[in-house]
Amino acid sequence: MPLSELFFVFIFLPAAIILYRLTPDRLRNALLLLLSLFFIAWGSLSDVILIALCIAFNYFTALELDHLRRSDSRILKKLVLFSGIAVNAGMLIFFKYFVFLINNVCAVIGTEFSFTVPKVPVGISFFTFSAISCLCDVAKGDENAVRNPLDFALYIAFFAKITSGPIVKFRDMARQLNDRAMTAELTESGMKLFIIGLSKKVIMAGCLGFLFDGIKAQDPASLSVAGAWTGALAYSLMLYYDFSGYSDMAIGLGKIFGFSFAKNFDHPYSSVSMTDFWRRWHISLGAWFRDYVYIPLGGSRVGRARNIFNLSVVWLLTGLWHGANWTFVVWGIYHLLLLLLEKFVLKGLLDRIPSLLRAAMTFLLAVIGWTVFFSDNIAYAGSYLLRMIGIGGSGLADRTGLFYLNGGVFLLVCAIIGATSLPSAALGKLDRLMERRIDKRAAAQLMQPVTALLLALLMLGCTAFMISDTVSSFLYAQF
Amino acid sequence: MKTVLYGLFRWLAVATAIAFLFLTGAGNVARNADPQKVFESVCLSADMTNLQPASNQMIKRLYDINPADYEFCMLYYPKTNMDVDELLLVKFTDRSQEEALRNAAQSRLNGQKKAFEGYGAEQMGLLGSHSLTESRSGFFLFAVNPNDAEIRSAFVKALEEESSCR
Amino acid sequence: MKDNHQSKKTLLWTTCMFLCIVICFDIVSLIIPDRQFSETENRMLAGPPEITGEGLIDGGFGEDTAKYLSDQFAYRDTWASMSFFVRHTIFHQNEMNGVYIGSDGYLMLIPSEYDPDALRQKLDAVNLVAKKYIHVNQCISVIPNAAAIMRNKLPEYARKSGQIQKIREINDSLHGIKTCDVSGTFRQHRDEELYYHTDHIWTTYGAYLAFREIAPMLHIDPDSFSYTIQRVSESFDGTLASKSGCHQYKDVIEIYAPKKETPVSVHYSEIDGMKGTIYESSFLSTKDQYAVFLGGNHPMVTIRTTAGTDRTLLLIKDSYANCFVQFLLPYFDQIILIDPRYCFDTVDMIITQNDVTDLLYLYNADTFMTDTSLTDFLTFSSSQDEE
Repeated sequence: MPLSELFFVFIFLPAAIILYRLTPDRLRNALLLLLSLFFIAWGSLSDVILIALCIAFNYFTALELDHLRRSDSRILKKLVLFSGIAVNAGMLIFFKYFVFLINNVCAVIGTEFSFTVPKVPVGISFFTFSAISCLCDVAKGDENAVRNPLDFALYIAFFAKITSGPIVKFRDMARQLNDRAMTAELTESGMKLFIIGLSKKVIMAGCLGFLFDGIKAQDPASLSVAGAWTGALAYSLMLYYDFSGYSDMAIGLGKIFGFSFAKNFDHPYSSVSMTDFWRRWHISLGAWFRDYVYIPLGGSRVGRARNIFNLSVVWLLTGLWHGANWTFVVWGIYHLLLLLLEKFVLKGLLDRIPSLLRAAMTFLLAVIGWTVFFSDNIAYAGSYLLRMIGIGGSGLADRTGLFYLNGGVFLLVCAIIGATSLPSAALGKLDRLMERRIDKRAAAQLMQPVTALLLALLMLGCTAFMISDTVSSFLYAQF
Repeated sequence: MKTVLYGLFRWLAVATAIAFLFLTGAGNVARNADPQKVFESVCLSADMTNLQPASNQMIKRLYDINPADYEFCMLYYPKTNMDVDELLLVKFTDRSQEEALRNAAQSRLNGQKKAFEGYGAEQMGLLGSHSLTESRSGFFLFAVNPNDAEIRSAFVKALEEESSCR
Repeated sequence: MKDNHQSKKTLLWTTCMFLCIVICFDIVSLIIPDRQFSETENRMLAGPPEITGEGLIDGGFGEDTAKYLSDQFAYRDTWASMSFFVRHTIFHQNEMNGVYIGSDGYLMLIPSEYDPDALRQKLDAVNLVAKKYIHVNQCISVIPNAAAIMRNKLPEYARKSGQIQKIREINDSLHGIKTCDVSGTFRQHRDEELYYHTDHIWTTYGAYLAFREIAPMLHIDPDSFSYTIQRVSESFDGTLASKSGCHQYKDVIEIYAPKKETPVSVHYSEIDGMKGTIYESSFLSTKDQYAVFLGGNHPMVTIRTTAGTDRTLLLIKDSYANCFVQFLLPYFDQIILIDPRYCFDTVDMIITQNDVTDLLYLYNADTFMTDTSLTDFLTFSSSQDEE
C-alpha cells in the first residue's frame, strides 16, 4: 500500500504506533517485521513470498560471507559475494528489464517473442540494492552479518522504506536494529517530518500534477514555448515534491520507530552546480552508487581515462536504474556529460559566477534533463525540447500554454520558493526572534503546541486531498 | 560444515523462487483451448439475468467488428437498453486482431459511459467498477457484470484446464 | 554562552494531535452508517469489500478496502469541497475533470475531441435517410454548447471550441433536409440565462428561444400559443457540479405550461402504462431534478395529444429535447422521441410503423459530434439480420 493512502495514514499507522509503544523492547523488531509483512501482503501475497525468499537467500549468503571472511578464504569469499550480487541483480533485471531487453534484441534480429513477466514485487529497485549493500559491507568487514533472521528481515522489508526508499545502507542500519533510542524528541521529529512529507506529496505534487498532465495531454508538435516550459517546470517541481515528500514520510516513519535514516533530499534546487545537485538529490542513490560501484572500480584515485570510465559506468547504471527505457539512459548520459564538464573543463570558472546565477543555471539544466526523463520515448523528448527553444510548435505562446501558465503561475512561484531553503531560513529567523523577545525555554514550550496546531491544519488539508484524489500514484513507485 | 549448510539454504531459496514464479504463470502459455467450453464456464459464473444473445448484426453494430473474421465470437448484450450488462468472448489469431478487439471493447465501454454519464448512477457504477477486459492464450474477454471477479476466475481457470489437457 | 535550558521535556504534541485526529475520524466514520449513493458526486459509493481468496492474493481486497474507506469516510463531501477550495480558490485551477470553472458560477463542459470520419459517416447517414423518405418533412438543428456561446464567462485563455464554425459546416454538408442554426440568436442573448450554471443542458428559456427559430422549419407558428412560466425548482445541482466538485451555485428550473389546456397521454417504452403529463414532479425531490421533464432518458417515448393536426413527429434527440418537447405539444397528434444511445431499434422500423410526417433531429453540438449511436440507429436495418 502506498504511504500516502488513506488506509495507511488513518488505520495502519496509528495501529502501528500504538502497538509499538505497548510492545516490550525485545519484541519490537518482531512486531515491526510482522507489520511490514502485512503491509507488503496487503498489496500482493506473491510479493511477500518472493521478498521472503530474497531475504532468506541474502541472510544465508551474509552469514556465509561472514564465516569466510573470518576464516580468511579470499577466493571463495569473492565467489560467494559475486554469486550473491548476481542473484540480487538477476532478480532486479528479470522483473524490471527482461521485457525491455527482449524487445530490443528482437527489434535487432527481427523476430517477435511474447513473454508474460509476473507482477513486479514492490520496491524491488530499493530492496535489492539494500541487499547488495549488506553483502558488500559484510564481505569487506565493515559490519558483521546479522545473526537474528528477524532483524535481518526487518532491514530488508521495513515498511517505512521498502516501497520507495531511501536506500539505507546496511552499515547505517545494522547497529540500530538492536540498539536504538526511543526518545520523545525523535518521535515528535518523525511525526512532524511525516506530516510535512505527506503535505508535499499529496497537496503540492497533487496540484502541480494538474498542470503537467494538461500539457502532457497535448500533442508535442503543437506546444508553444510557454506551454512547453510550463509543463517542464511543473514536472520538475512535481517530481521534487512527490519524491522528497515520500522520502520525508519514510524517514519520519523511521524516526517514529526509533531509526535514524539520513536525509534523502537537501534543497536540490538551490544547488550551485551539477556536482552540488547530485549531493542533494536522491542522496541515498548517489551514495549507494559511490560506495558500491564507483569506489570499488577505483573511483577518482586512478588515471583520468579510467576515472571517466568509472563515472560513465555509474551514470549509465544510474540512468537505467530509473526505468527500462532508452530515455533514462539518455538522461543519465546527459548528467554524466555535465558532470564531466564541471569536473574537467570548467573547474575554477564557476566560482567566479555569482551563486544566484549559478543556482538559476543549475535549475535550468536540471529542468531540461527532466524533460527527457518524463518523455515516453526519445522522439517525444526531442520534439518537446525543440518546442522549449521555440523551434516548431505554436510559437512563443498559444492559448493552451497561456491557460496553464496563467492559471498556474501562483502555484509555480509558491512551489519554487518552497523548494529552496528560504522557508526554513525564515522559520529559523522567527525562532531566534522569539527567543530574543521571550525567554528561550518559554519560547520552546510555546513553539511545540503552535507547531502541532499548524501541522494539524496541514493534516486536515492532506486528508481532503487524499479523499478527493481517486488516483494518486507515486512516480518513483514504478521503480 | 557451515559453508555447505549456508550454501544449501541459499540455493534452495533461489530454486523455490524460480519454481514459485513458474507456478504463478510466467512465460509463454499454450493457445489451444476449446472456445465453446471456455464460453460455457464463463457464462456459468456470470449473472445472466439482464443478458440476451446477440446476432452477428448486433455484434457489428455495437462493436464494429465482423464476427466472421474470428474463429469464435459470441456476445451477450443487455435485454433492455437501460441496462449495461455485457459479455463478449472472441478467439483471435494474431496481435493485430487482439489490438482491434481491445480498441472495440474500449470504444464500447467509453460509449456506454458517455451515454449514462451524469444520469445513470447504477449503470456508471457497473461500468466503472465491474467491467473487465482480459486477453490471454488467444482469447479476448470483455464483460460488464456484477460477477466480474467470478467471471475472470472462471475464464483463467478454464484456459488453464484446457491448456494442460493437451 | 548559549543557554542550554532547552526544555528536557518534549511533550508529544504533534504525535498526540495526529493520533487524535486520525482516531476521531476513524470512530466517526465507523459510527455513521454507510451510504449507497452520493448525491454530490452523482455515483454509487463502494460497499464493504468481499473477502475472496483471489482478492487476498492479488491485492484486490486491499484496493477494495481502500475504496470503501475513502467512499464512506465521514464528511466526505466537506473534505471534497476543502480540496476544491485549495485547488481552485488558492491555486487558481480553472479546470476540474473536464469542466471549466467559469465566472458567475458557470460550469461549462470542455468541448470534446471528435473523429472526423465518424462525423462524416453520420452526416452521410442523415443524408441517406433524407433521400429515402422524401415524403417526410425532415429538419435538423444542432445546438451550440455553453462553452461556444458564453465565451466571456470562460476562464482566461480557455480553448476555443470552434463549434459555431463546425455547426455551419455540418449544415452545409446536409442535403434534402432543412437546417436551422440558432447560434446567432443565442449569441445575441448570451447574457441571459440560456444554459444552466451547473449542467451542460440549456434552460427552458434557451429551449424556448430555439423553438421560435426552429418553428418555421416545422411549419408551425410559435405565436399561436402562449405559456405561463412556472418555477419548479431553485435548488437544481446539475451533472457538471458533480463532475467538477463545485457546488457553489443552485440553478432554477422553469416549465412553460401552455395557457390552453393540452391533455396528453405519455408512454415510456420500458415502463408499462400511460402517464397523463410530460412532467414528473416526483423527480424534483431527487438529485436529477431535470428529469422533471419526461422522467429522464428513455429509449423511446410516445406522446399522444388532442391537437387534431394529423401530424406525427419523430424527434431524434439527446437530453436537450426533454424540455423542448413541451412547446411542441399543441402542434402534433403524436410525438415519438427516440434517444439512439439507449435504443436498439432502427429508423426504418419507426418510420414505417408510425406514419411519421415530420422528423426533427435535435442535438447539442458536443453530443452530435461525438456520439456514435445515431449512425447505428440510422444505418442498421433490421431486415438484414443474418446468423
